[in-house]
Order: sequence, then structure tokens, then C-alpha cells
Amino acid sequence: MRLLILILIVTLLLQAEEILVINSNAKIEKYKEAEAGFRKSINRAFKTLDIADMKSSEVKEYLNTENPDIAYAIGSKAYQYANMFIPNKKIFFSSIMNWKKLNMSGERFGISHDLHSEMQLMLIKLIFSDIKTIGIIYSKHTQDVMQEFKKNSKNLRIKILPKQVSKDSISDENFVDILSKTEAMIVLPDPILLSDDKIVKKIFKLSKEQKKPVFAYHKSFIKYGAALVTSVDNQTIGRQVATMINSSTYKDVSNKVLHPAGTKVIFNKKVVIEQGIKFDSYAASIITEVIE
Amino acid sequence: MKIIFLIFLFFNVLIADTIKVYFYTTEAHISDFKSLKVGFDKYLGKHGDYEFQPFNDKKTFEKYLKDKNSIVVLSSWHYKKISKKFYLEAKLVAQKKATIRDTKILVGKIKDLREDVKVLVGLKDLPLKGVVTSAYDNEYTKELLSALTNNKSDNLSVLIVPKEIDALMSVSFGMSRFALVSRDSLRLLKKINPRLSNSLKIYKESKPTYRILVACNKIDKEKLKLMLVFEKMNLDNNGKNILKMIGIDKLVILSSNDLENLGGAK
Repeated sequence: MRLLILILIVTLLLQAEEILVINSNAKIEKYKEAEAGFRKSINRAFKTLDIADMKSSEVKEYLNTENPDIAYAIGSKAYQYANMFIPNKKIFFSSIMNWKKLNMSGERFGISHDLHSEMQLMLIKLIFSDIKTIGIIYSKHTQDVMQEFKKNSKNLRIKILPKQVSKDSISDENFVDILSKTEAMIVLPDPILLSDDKIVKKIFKLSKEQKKPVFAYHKSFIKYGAALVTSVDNQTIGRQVATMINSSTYKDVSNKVLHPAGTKVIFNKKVVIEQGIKFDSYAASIITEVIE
Repeated sequence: MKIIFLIFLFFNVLIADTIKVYFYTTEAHISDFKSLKVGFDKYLGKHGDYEFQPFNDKKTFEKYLKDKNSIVVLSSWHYKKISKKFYLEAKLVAQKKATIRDTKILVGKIKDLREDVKVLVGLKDLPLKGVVTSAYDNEYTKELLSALTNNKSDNLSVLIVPKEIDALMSVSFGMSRFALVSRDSLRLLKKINPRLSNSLKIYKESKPTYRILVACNKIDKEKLKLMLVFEKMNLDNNGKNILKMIGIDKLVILSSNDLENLGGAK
């Protein structure tokens, strides 16, 4: 009986935890979607705060007055404020590109902003099942990402052919060389490659000439001619955070930061057909959007 | 004369009313409604005055079912729930890899082999615990989990993901403890990533359930014609592509035995 009462008290205390969603900018699509996913799945009341137009002092005052038990920070600005002004609270986060650079001391849990590289490769394999070699151009900034791809490609019988470049060594010859050895290319969010629009255009132009598909991580690459874009589903990220809080599962996992569980797949059928690239039409049910 | 002509035209319009095809399934997350609608309208338009309307919300879909001049595409679970209310009778069923039924499975990664074996062979009736990823409708997922675990699903938290392959990848890469998927999806995983599928175990399996159904209330000549158009979809290139989008090979006529199993209006 005592045990039951104790469980009831603990449950009530947990239920009473106040939750605050801090959104870096609720007008930005990916932040808005993450918040919407969270809203649909969380099983208790919560408050929201959009800090887009707020001064640091205003955020501080709000957080100190509100003093939530749990904060869900969407975007890096929200995380930084939460971490600075309510450091002793449980802070969940999502939608942060460089989350590895965050100060993570204390009770910090989150969803990273990049898909597991094996997930990306699996989605590619589902649509382009014949592809066995994929080239990746990387620099020192994305060496870890390339290595993850290389490590995880073995299960899928794909060979990753990497080509390292630096600011000074970027050249057409480099691109032509790697393209001639592979069947497709993966574009990474590399600051050197993306520093100049001309470089991106050049990679896509040369790939098109050799009729080799390029796989990207953001829909903005569709305009350059990416054959496939695999990215995170932001609503699922919000749902993931809500599920972590609802079920307290964050306490059981060894990893404090999980990969996103939902994917978005944009298939550029127009480009694929134009270039005569073979694809598996049976994979149509995994595609989120088709560009005809 | 003009008035007679106008009256004739008016009645003609009434008679030749567009038949709507309402689509909603609790078992598949279709994100690209635009392509699905364009594809269906293009295919159906070649055969008559038909219009395809997909829904991503169950309640809204059900509101439209009062429209008598329509046929509906829905999951067999949903059909069993609402067929009597809306006087629906199933006519066609989806076929994939020569089967019209599929089972749902609860898969998880093997963590502690000895403990898992005890659970799997039923020596240990431990309630399953953790996050379950599912691409199905929330209500359907919870009902399935409850049935699969003999009402011991209280310790399972549902996380809805866009696709069944997402659910499987999530359990494989540690974002969830279990995934609720179809047997078909596990077969697909095995095909593209055998090593990953070998690291998963089936903890629970449902009884076979019918795949997607095409149903209508009060069949007439026009609806019969439309059913035939659906039945022949796999013989047309455009039709075949649409079927692939919803993950099936073709639509076939339900036998009287199957109809009896499904229940329905009559």
C-alpha cells in the first residue's frame, strides 16, 4: 500500500513538471515543423516562447520568472539561452546543425540534425539498387562525415571513393578524376565546397555530362539537378522529443543525443529519366515528393 | 426550345455526375498527395468522369463517406470499423507478391540473448518496454500493440514516423526499442541490408489481415465500370506506377469467402 502511494506521489510530481518550448524563430519552417510535431505528441500542458525578436535580457527575465523544469530548445539560439539562464534544468534540443559544439554539461538530451549515414545510404540503395560505387568530395571540415559514410557503406555492398580537397586544391581535374571512377556522387555540407556557388554548379555540370546521379541532403540542390535528396523529417524530430519526455525514455538510453527517426525523400524523376539513370520503381512508396 | 434544351442539359449534368474516389489508409503514410492525385486523375480520366481525392485525416475522410456517388479506398482495419455505419461493401483487395493478406510484426534488436530467448519462447512473460516506432495511424498502432501484447502495452510509447522503413531503421540505429511494421517491410530490409535485418528479432506477430480494400455503397452500373478500371490498373503503365506509390502490385476481386471474413454492410 505504501509503495502504491509512493508511486502515485512520484507520478504526480513528474506530471507536475513544467515544460517550456523555446523556439529560436517560429517563422522558420524547420523550427515551426518541429514545434508542430511536439505539440501533437506531448501528453501534458506546456508553454511556448518565440525568442526571434527578444533581447537577451528579456529572455533571461522570462526564463527566471517562468523557471520551467524542462525546456525544449528548438535551434541553437534557444539552446544557448536555456543553457545560460536555466543551466540546472533538463534541456532537450533539436534542429541544431553544429550540435557537437554545444556545451552539454548537465541534463542535456536531444535529437541531432543529421540522418544516420547508413540510413541515407539505405534510401539511396532502395531507389538505385544497382549502384555499387559512390564518390564523396570532402575537406578537413567534413572528414568525420566521410568516414562515417565509408564505415557504414560495407553492410550495403557500396564502395565509397573519397577525394579530399582543400581551398587551394579545388579544381575541375579533381572532380573529373573522381567522377570517372564512380557511378554516383554524394554532396556533403562542406564549407569549402559550398563557399562558392560556381563550385557546386561545376560538380553538378560535370556529373550531368557523365550521366552520374548526385545525391544531396537539402532540397535546395534540386535546382542544380540533384537526383535524390534525403533529409530529416522535422515533425518527427518534435515527436521524438515529446516521446522522450512522455515516457522518460531519455533516462534509459546510453546515448544522450539520438539521430532523427523520420526521413524525407525527394526523387528528381525528371533528371533521372533525362540522364537515363536506372532506378527501382518499386521503391515509389518510400518517396515523399517526386519532381516530374 | 431554349428552355427545353437547358432543362435537358441540367438533367444531363445531374445524371453524369462525377464519381469521386476517396482515399485514406491507416497503414501507409502517403506524403506526396500531389503526385498521387495527378497520377490517379490522369489514369481515371482516360476511362470516364472520375475524380480522385486523397485524405490525410481520418475524420475528414469519414465525413465524405456520406456521398453516395463515390467509391472508397481504405485499410481493412478501417473498413471493419466503419463498413456497417456507411453501408460499405468491399469489392476489390490489394495484392502484393501474390498475397492479399499480410501480417504485422513487432521487431526489436536482440539485447540480451538469453533473456530475449526466454521472452520469445514464452518462458518469461515480461511486459515489453520502450519506444515503438510505427508508420501507422496512432489509433491503429495502439490497438495493434494491445492485441499483440495481450493488453500489456502500457510500457510501450508510440513514436509515429513517416514510413515503415523509417521505423525499421530507427530500431536498427537505436532511436527506438521496437518497430511495428509489416512482414513485407522486413523482407525489404533483408533484401537491401541483410546484416541489419539479421540483428533484429520478431517479438510478436499478428494474424494475417487483408491489404487495402476498394469498397462502395450501393453498387450500380457506373461504379461497376469504375471497379473494372481499378482491376485493370496493373495492365497500364501509368496505373502500374500509381499502384507502386501505394506499395501494391494490383487490385483483385474479393472471393465470397474473403467477403464473409471481412463482414461489411450486407
